Amino acid sequence: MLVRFIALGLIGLLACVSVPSQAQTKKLKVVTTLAVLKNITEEIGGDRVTVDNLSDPRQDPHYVQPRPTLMNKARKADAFIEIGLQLELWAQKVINGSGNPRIQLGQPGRIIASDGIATLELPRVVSREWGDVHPYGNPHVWLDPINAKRVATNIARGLGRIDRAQRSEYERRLSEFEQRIDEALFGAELVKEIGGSKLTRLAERGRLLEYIDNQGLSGKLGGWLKKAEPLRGQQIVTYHKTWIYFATRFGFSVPIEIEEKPGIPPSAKHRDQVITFVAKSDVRALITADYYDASATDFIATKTGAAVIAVPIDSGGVAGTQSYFDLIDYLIAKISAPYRVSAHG
Amino acid sequence: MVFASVIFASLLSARESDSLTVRQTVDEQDKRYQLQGLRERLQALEKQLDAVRERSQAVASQQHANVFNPGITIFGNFVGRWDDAPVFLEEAEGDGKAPRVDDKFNLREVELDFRGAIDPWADGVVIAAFESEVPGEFTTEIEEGYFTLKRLPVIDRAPLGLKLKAGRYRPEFGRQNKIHTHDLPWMTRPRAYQTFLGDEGFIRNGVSAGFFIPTPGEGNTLEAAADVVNDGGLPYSVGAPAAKGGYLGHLKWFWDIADGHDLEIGGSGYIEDTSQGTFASRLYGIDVTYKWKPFRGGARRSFHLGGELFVADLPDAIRQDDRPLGFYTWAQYQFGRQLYIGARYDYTEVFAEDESQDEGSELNTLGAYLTYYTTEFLRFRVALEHAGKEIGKNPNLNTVFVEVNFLFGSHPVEPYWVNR
Repeated sequence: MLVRFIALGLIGLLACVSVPSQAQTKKLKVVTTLAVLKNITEEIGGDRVTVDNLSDPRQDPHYVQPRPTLMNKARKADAFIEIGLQLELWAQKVINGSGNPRIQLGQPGRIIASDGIATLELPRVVSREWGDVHPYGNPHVWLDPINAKRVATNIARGLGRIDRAQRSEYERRLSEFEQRIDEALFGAELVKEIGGSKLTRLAERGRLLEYIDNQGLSGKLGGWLKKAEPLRGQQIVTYHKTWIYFATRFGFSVPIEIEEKPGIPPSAKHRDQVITFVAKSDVRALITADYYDASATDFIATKTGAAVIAVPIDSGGVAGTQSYFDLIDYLIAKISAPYRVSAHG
Repeated sequence: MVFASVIFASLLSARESDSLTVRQTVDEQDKRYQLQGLRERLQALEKQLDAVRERSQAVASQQHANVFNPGITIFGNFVGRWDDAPVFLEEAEGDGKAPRVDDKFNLREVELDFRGAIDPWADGVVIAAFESEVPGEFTTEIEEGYFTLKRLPVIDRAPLGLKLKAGRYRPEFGRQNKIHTHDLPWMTRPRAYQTFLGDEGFIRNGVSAGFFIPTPGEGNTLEAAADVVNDGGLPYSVGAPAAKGGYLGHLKWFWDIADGHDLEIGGSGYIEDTSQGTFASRLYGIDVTYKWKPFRGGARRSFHLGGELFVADLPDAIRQDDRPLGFYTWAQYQFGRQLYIGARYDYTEVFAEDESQDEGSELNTLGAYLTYYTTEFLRFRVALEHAGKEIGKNPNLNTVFVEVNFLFGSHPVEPYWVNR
């Protein structure tokens, strides 16, 4: 009898010891609010994570229906990754409905991807008089590839908090991702010459072009910044305040939006003001996220001859945009097309 | 001559040397002045920086003080109605006369919604309502005041996504009971709700547990809720023995049929426990809702089709061999970012304390509405309603409603787009 007890005890002890090792090999279940976050999480997590995205890339990320099926996915998650900055107002409803304590605010499993990003268009006055203002600044941060590195850092740190055993692996994959972003943004040759960190610092301060010009390295600029050269110094009108990060990185300005105020469709008067502005200036493109009603944008285009560029802002929204890199490639190609044609033409 | 030249040269050299020394001195003085200037500038900048830091710390501390305040939203619901016959409230006032409510504007409801985190384990919600049936006369009540547990104190994981709630709240009976008056897709709560659950719906003090029941596949979910609540006292069981409490169960099956199409089917049951220790009466409900909202362009196109059926099982003491029922069905189409059009048909068997008065009576109502949102914070609605037979009231009453709904304050996630 005693032998049986000892044997059972040993088996139990072995089972207890083996539980952590099983847990270590178990993949993390991650839920994201946007497909770009899924992409980046997969880049960082590799085969250590299974990622489920809640929104469809064709949807306006502000307005996703918090359906029970989304709540059920979130229920099983070890980590919930969102942009934050009040972009996904529906996310809290999904989390509340999930009943999952691991992804509540303040828990290690709740990862806010925009943490530490210096937001733009921070409102001076937070009031509904200004439409759907975002009190913490414009939330479309991922459209700047430099911000994507910060997003990836937050994801790597977040995954590392809940899976400490793999922390170094996440950091290693983060370094690889940052290197790939640097090479895609600045060109491999320039990164090799100057280094990604220094290039990033210079780009963030708006001194990159001046610096490489002074160093006689302008010819080595490659990647997205080279491809986006036709956009540099241009004025482009956008439908919603979606593009400020993309515009800042690739050197064009947005002098006016078609929406009268964020979230407020344009009145006839405002639409006419946009038409007058476009007609008088050298605006050749009107950009809109493809989930918005294009009628006002189309109307302005017919009156001014500017090209309408309706594009997704999340990866997978159209064919050929499956990864984050594909998405930025696609956006640069589409948005710079009218300027490239006129430059050559 | 040579001597003179040497003297002159040495004098010249001394003068040049003096001049060089003077220039060097001047340069040094310039540098000192410049350095002094830079030092002063640096000190001034440091002072400015300190001032900015102090200001930002003051702002940050103010913000920190504010973030512990709950999110507050104020809702106002203003209604006008015009009827083709006089309409009286059922309840008589002190002078014995029931007040007339037709052809009047009325601020029907003001709600104050407070919500926020209590601590790492729980969130709290308190909703105070000021309601008016007669213009200018308000009743005040705590419509909801409850806490939900986000984490269980002992175990790390919530089995089946268990959610616990306690306080005064709107239990999940049917699909629309949880929705407050200002957020209804219609002007009025469906007649079946009013008849079986009360004018404002079913609100009780109690405890609730909600959880998921595993289902095959990820495209569908099955959710269950079980509640124990105080009191009976629902309109449908008037005359029943006083109830000690009630038990409520709700099952909801949700199916993502395809991208942008979903179907929800719910079943509800409520049983009252009388003071005699026997179950006094029962109420059952079934609800079905189909919704289409395309992924691309879903902000400007959507369609709802749904309905609910209620059946009461009353004890013999109240009503013999009778199982009154009521139902409604509705459809709504969104044909722009801001415009919605819809219609609802209600059928309810009417019952009252005096059975002889309403035997076999029923009420049919048909209504249509047009809703316009400037933003999700301001809504205008025009509605027409034709009410058929109703005991003690006007048969064939036609009413035109207008409604303005407004809200301001913080922006909680729910419930603005429940029906959008």
